[in-house]
This record gives sequence, structure tokens and C-alpha cells, in this order.
Amino acid sequence: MTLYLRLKIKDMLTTPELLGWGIGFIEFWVLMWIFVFSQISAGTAWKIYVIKTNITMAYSFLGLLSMSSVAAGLSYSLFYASRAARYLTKFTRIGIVRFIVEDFLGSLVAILIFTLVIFLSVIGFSYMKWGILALPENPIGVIVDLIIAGVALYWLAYMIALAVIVSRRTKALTMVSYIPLIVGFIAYSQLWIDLGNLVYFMPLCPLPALLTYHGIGAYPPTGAYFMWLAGDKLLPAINLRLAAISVFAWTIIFIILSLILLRKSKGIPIEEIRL
Amino acid sequence: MIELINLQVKYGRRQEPIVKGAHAKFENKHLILGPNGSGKTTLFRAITGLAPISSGRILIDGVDLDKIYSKPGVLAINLSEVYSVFHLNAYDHLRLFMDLTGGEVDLALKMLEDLGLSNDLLRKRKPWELSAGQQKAFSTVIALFSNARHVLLDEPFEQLDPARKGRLIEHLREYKGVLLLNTHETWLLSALKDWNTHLMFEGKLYGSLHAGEIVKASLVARDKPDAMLKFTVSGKTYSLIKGGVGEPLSRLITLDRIYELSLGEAENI
Repeated sequence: MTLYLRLKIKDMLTTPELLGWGIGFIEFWVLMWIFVFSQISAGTAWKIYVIKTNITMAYSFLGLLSMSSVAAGLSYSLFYASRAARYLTKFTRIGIVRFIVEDFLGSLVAILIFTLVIFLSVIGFSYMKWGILALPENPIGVIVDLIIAGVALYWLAYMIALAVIVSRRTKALTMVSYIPLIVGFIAYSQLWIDLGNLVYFMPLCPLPALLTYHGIGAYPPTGAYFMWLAGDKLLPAINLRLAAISVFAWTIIFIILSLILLRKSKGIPIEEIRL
Repeated sequence: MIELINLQVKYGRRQEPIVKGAHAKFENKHLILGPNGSGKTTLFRAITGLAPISSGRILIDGVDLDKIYSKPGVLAINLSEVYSVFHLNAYDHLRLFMDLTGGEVDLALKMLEDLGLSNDLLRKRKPWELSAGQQKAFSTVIALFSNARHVLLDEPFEQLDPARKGRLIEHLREYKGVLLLNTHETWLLSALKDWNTHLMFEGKLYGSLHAGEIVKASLVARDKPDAMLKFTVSGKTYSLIKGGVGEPLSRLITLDRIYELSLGEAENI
């Protein structure tokens, strides 16, 4: 592992803002979810299955929210690093491609570590409450879903930082850096709202469905997960193939737009990249 | 060697150029002496690829600046903004830049210690948490220990105490490579007498002369045919002449005073 990559990971894992929002803030909701909102008690096999589904939903939705919080902070750090990046890629060993790859890999590793903390705490706290160890049925599937989420959110954050630079609207950074968090909360809103077919068009909204499917093996609905969990209403099952295509498509869109903006950002003087 | 060919730098289409048609070859040790706001830092940013070149070219060892990518050992600069990559301490940044340029961490740390930045301080503070003088010393040391053939130093003596200024000067004298140092302080002319010196006023680069020659020269607010060097400030022509009646340039202390001269005192010199 190169020193740049090591320091990138260290940077993200030691930034108080990222720790506060990505872990502290989300852990609060983990505790609320497990100990306050989940009133069900274990008993029959069906109830255990419902609890396991509830736990799976908790790490899926809260994990995604944690990633979104980290991505919001990432927009900031990518914006600031872009000033030094000009110099780094010209007069040091780190070329443009290596810089992008290492920055991306470092961020992805850090994002996944943040999510792992949320995942483990959901598993641990739910074991404390119900004595049920709700490990994913398809762990590889869950890991792949989380990696895709991390990739998509990294490029969304990068796209935002570059859009601010290219449009020369640096003062808008504070506002637009929240876009990943807004995306995360729209996905989170599916706990109560059924987006219907809109779910396939909204960035990253189908991800909790993929995570829930790989976590518990059930075919989740297009939204209104709590209603689905309670069995109050029959909801249409999500098309997992379309869900996966949607997530891949948005990830590719973010990557392509970032690369286009990266080319456009080349001529912008360093003085303009400051708040 | 760094070569500037009719270089013009400006931000935005409607703005006045900040560097206006600069021609120069830098192949040894050079001082660029000019008042604040004369375009010195912008010139350095342009040479580093950090400011937009609206016309002209910059060649470094014969290679167009636009074609230089991922080339450690070619050039280093002491602008603190390029040495803040992460939210990490100054020591980690030092390690990173020495790693990416093939520089020696231990030698850099020794020099930093000499300039009053202890290892302990570097581990405690992020680069932007250092005082302005410490930030300048920190980025200057990284630039000098990056093993670069060309080093650009933007006002490296700012806010350094006299003892540390002396130590840094010793180091600059011993440096093997092309050095470009910009400053508005004229005392450096006496300290670095054998350096080639360019003057910079209102975006225009003049010269070069040996610093030693400029120390002995006098400034007159007239166009003198026998002048060693002529330059224009606020529409008024000044001449540097050998000895004679004018004001010794070194007595101005800082070239910022040139504007005062151009406003009121010019007639007296």
C-alpha cells in the first residue's frame, strides 16, 4: 500500500466531522431503531424471521445513510485536495490516473469501514436485545452491494466537487455538498413511502432492496418497508434485476460526469478554488 | 533552465493581465525583486501550472509546461496551499511529499528544526494551524528538500527572525540547482550579491543585473540614456544608474516604497 493511500484512509478515519456524522449520528439512530422503535419480541419462528428482517433493514438503511453522510464530507475534502492535486500530479511521482485511483480506493476503504462499524453495531445491539444473531444469508451479496454503494457515492461526491469548481460557484459548496446526504435520506424515506416504479429512476434508491434481498433472502417491495414488515398491506415486490441495473447505471453516470468535469476543470486557476 | 517566452497571465477575459509579456531565462540563482502586487507570486503560480497562461509559453528544460506530468525532480515551489492535502498533521504532509518526490525526510526535519519547527510541533499541528511564518518555513523546506532541479521560493523570509533568515540564506547559497526567489525586501540584494536579479513592476519583468550591481546603483525618476536598467511605474520612467545622485535602491528597504516615490517624492530623487 502506498503512503498516499495509507494517509488518505487515515485522513478519512480521523476527521472528526466524518466520525461524528458517519458514525456518531448514525449510531444514535441504530440505538433508537433497536431499542425504541422495534417493539416486537422473539417467540415463534415467524416472529424470529420478522426480527431478522427488521435487523437486515436496519443495517441496510442506516448503513446507506452513514455512507451518504461520509460522502457529504468527502465532497469538501475532494474540493480542497483539488488545489494540491494540480501540483501533485505535475511535479511528484503521483500521476493523474494514480491520484484518482488511489484517492478513490482510499475513500472506498474508509467508507466501507464506516459502514462495517454500523453493520456490526446493528448486529451486536440486536443480539443484546433479542439474542438473535442476524448475519446476512448472502454475505458476498451484501458486501458487493455495499461496495457498489461506496463507489456510487464516492463518484457522486467527486462530481459535486468538480461541478462547483467548473461552474466557479465555490460558495455553493456548503449547500451542494449535502446532495449525497439528501440522496441517502430519499432512500431512507422508503421505510414509510412507496416510491412505486420511481424507485428505479432515483439514484441509489433500489440499494436497500438489494441489501435486504441479500441479507434475508426476501423479495422486498418498491417501498413502504415498515408497512411490508408489519404485513399491513400487500405491496408489489421490487424487480431486483431492474434495481441492480438502476444502481449500476447511476454509478456509471456519476463516473462519466466526473471524468468530463475533471477535463473541464483543468484550465481553472487555483485562486478560484477557494471559499 | 526555465524559459519564459512572451508570457502573459490573466484571470478572466476582461481583466487586466497580471503578468505582461515576460521574457526571461532562469538557469542559475535569481532574485525577482518587486513591490507587493507586482505579479511575482502569480508569475510563480504560472510557472508551476497553477495560474492560467493567456498567451506565451513556459519551457522547463526545453519541455513545454503543459506537457509536464508526473515528473518529480523537475520543479518545487513553497506555496503553502499545495502542501495541504489532507486533514492530517504537518509531519504526515512532510512524509508524503518527501515520499512522492524522493526527498530526505531526516534532512528536511533537521532544517525545520533549525528554522524553529520541532518534530513535536509538526506532529501536533496541521499545516494551516502553523503561524504564517511557520507555514512559510515549512513549505520552503519541503520545496528545498524535494530534490528538484528548479525551486521557486515565494517570499521565503517573511516573518522569519534574523537568525533564521541567516540560516536559510546559507542554505540557499549552498543549494545545487536553479533557484528563483521573489521578494519585496531590498536587504537581500546585499546578502545575495552574486545572484542575477530581475525587477518586477506592474506585471512587467525587467533585467537581469547582478544583485551586487543593483546594491551600488541609484534610482532616478527620469529616463537616463546611460541607465543600467529602466522601468516604468504608474506611467513614470525610472532609471537605475551607476552611483551618482539618485536614491540607492537598497535604501528603500522594501520596494513597496516605489509607489510612494511615484506619487510624491519622485521629483526629489
